[in-house]
Amino acid sequence: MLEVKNLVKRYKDKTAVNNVSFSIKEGTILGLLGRNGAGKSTIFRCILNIIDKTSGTILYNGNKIDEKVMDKIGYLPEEGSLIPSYTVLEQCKYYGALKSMSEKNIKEELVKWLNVFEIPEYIDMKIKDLSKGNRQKIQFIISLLHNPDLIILDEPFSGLDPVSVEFFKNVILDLKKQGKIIVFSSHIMGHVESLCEDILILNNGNVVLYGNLNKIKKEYSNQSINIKGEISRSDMENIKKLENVYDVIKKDEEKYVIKVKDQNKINEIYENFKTSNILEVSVIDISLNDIFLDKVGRKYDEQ
Amino acid sequence: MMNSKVKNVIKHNVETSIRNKWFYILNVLLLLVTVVSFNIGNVDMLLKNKNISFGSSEKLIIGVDDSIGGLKEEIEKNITLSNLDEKLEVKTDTNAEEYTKDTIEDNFINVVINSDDKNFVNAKIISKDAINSKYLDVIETSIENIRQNLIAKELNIKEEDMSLIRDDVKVERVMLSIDEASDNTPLQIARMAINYVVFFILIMVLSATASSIAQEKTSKSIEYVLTSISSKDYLLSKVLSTIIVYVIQFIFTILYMLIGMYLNSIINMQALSTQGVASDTSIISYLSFVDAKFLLYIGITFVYSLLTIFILNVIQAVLSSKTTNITEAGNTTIILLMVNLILYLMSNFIIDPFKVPSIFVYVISCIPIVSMYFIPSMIAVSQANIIQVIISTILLVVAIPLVLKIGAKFFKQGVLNTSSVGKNSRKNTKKNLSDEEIRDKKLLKREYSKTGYVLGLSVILYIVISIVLSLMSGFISAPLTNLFNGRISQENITCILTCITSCIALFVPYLLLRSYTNKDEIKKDKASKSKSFIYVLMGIPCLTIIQILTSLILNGINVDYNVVDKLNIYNGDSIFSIILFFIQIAILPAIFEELYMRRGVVDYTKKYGSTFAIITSSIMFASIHLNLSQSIFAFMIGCVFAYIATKTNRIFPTMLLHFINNGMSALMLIFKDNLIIAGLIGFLYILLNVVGIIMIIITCVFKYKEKKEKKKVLINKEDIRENNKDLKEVKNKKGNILQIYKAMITDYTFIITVIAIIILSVYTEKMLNIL
Repeated sequence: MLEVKNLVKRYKDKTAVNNVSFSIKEGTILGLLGRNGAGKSTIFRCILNIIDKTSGTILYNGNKIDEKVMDKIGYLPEEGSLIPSYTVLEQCKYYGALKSMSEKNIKEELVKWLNVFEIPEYIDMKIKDLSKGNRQKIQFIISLLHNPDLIILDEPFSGLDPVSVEFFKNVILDLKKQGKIIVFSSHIMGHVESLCEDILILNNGNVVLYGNLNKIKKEYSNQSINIKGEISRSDMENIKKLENVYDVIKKDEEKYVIKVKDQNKINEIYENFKTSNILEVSVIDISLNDIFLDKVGRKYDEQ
Repeated sequence: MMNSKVKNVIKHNVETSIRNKWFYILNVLLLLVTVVSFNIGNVDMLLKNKNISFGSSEKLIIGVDDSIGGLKEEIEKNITLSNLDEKLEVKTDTNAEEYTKDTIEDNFINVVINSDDKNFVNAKIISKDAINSKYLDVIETSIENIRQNLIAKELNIKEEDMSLIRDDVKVERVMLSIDEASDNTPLQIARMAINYVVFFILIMVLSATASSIAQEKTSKSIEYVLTSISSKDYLLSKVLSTIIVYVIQFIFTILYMLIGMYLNSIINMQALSTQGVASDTSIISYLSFVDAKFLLYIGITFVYSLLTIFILNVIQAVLSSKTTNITEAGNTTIILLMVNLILYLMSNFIIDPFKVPSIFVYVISCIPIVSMYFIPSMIAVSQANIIQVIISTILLVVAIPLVLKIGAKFFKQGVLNTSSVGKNSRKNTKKNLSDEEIRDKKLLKREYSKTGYVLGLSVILYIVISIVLSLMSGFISAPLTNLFNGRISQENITCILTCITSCIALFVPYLLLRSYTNKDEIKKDKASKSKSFIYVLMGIPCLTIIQILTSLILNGINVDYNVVDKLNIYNGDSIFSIILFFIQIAILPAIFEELYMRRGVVDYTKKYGSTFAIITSSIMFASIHLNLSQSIFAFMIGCVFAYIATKTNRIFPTMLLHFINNGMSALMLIFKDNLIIAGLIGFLYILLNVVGIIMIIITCVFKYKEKKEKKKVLINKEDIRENNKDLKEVKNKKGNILQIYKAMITDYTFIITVIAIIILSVYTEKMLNIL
């Protein structure tokens, strides 16, 4: 169990992370979502003790993270962390040694993982001769080499083709089944939506949204109803008078969104469609993007 | 116990640097070079046997044209004495006249001696080109001996007595407070050799550390590394592993040397045994000078250099963690090596085997890093005492964990700096006003430091051009005198050249400053001519006051004020040289110094306010005089000139004032013997002063009244004007003067200029005092 409480990181004149709290249990995946500079990497660096936090507590299984715990953490840095002149094996030996692994153990694990990623022939190739995607694979392997319990992946999917992304996702899901704690960050919503149970959206260092993804989605979708068809003026007035209804928005010709407080009382609305010509009523299947839009006030993809 | 991770990392680092093709190549090369250099004689012999040789293998033939007698025998005797048998051959009866540039052979030397009434012997040595000094020595000694023999004959001195005269005096030197053993030549040689080795290792170790850390930083792998190991442990392992690698390298090198020695002894033994001579070239003979002191010296040096290299290496690691690429990291290595070189040279200069060191030397020799050079040297000359050694060792040992701890902190900050700085700046652009202000401040700072760069560059230009041109004029003054067939004396030519030099040296920086000055920023509102003239008149009493003040100050700090006059040594006699002198002292400086300082510097710096312009230009005016006693005076009159320049926005008034100041002293010097004219000039000067003082009083009264009236009548207009003025001031000043100076000091050109000025000023001061 990884717990982060009230984490604050301030640089000289700028607060990079402002009062962020979350916790992750074994066998779950937390996705950190945010645009460039939102503070995702800073949170990771604080957890990993690379930079000193300004305030807050970070506990792993109830203990502070120190050097003993470090060997149980796997980390995939955002920017390249491989030394170009080394071969894959040399690189793994170096980083494995840093995690107190024996040389024999390193080689065994490396061969095993290279086979998982179907690139066993890369073992003696130099890092500088590898493509960006393959380097990312090697980095991923390095972060898993010492069989860590807590896995921190900073932008694991950058530079990967769609096939490799699927591959990565499967590996991550496998790890989840083994009961590992997994945190990863991404600025692409699709990746987060398809992988995580829990989600934390950051904007300028502040938490915009945090919780179980399905629950959040449900909450949001509970609150509005899509209507296709024409609502007559008298019906409209009646519906607006209902206690359960916040607002009725005409989005388009023959398209309405009704915002409600409680979905269970939705029948009240149906009962009020007396003179209207309703073609279709549906509870909205809301996407993360809509939630972000709702919370931050602008679309997530707008840079 | 050492952390197992540290051990792992060290093991990995050492392995990767040793299992590396460059390491193999280096070692093969080292092996070859050491073995060959120890057997260079044998190699030479091998080549000779196969008729390959460097340089000429022919015998030198000395032809003797002897009209006194005995030279051939003397030369032959000396040849055998100096073991040059096989290389020289002597012939007689050659004729000096028959040799010309084309006919003389490469390997032929002709020696001619004749008797002479005055010097007893007249000698001439003819050869095609330069002769090796060994052979020349032999010939010259022989001629000298012939001459001495002649003298001996003339004075009836017996030959045995002659050899007595030729013998050297044996002088025994006793220095009571110096240990007898301090003159230990093998130790001195060892000291030199060991210092070379230490430097060699330092270069290797420091550059290796620098490049490996820079590599890890640029490849960002450091971020991963620091997730698994604390920065202190990492620093420790990095430093230790490079040291271990080079200790291994060092051991290898010694091994190669031993191999070389062994080969040499084997070959020599074979050669000697064929001649039936017992060999004494075993390794022990190489080490015959080893005694207890020598071993102590080696041991102490080893311990000190090991500990010091460790500390230096930590510092290197921290420095290279602050850099952003491998080139920069290399530069930091150069800095560290420079510091070490300076310490080494200092130890050589300060530690004198024949002088008892001062307390100061004992104190600084205890400082870590310094001790590596001082303590072993002092041991070598028997000046170290046990307390000093103990204290310095303790300090070294204490320094290590301290350096490691502080270093780790800075290292962590530096090594992760690229990412956090990049992030900050990225965020800053998104942020609002306060960040913009920060950016503005940074821009301003950059602008200020550019000001420092421009001003510094102009002074450097001035100094460099002056030095180069005066060197050149030194070269061409003699040929020029010849060219004019002595119609103009050399002093006058030198004087003209000096004038030209100073004109160019002052004019080029002026042009530079002009090119950087924004013409729109210079206020065009020039003061009227009459007003400017009043300023000149008012300036004269100020100059007088300053002259009095300077002499008071210089007397107060016991500086000989006469050195100022020594600069302008005047000894002209013809009218032409008097005119030249006057031009050199009075007219040219007034024009060109004013152009550079008041037109150039004041106009360039005016954008930061007139106060800044006045102070800066006066400091520069003082500094280009490059001598301390003149600079105090120069600074003060610089202030007056600059004030007038900013007030009038004209160059002519200050030129005139400068001319009056310099011209007056020049005239005083010229007419120092003619009391009537000197008195007249003095009277004129006093008159000018009186007029100036009256002008000052009138102006003050006038200004006071004007102010009063303005206050009464033109309140509104005044307000508007003052507001405008305020606005302009705010726009122009952009920050207070101290801030500007602070920012200027960040510029390297400026720093170099300041250092150059200080060094040159002190130098000229010393030179003048010697005069």
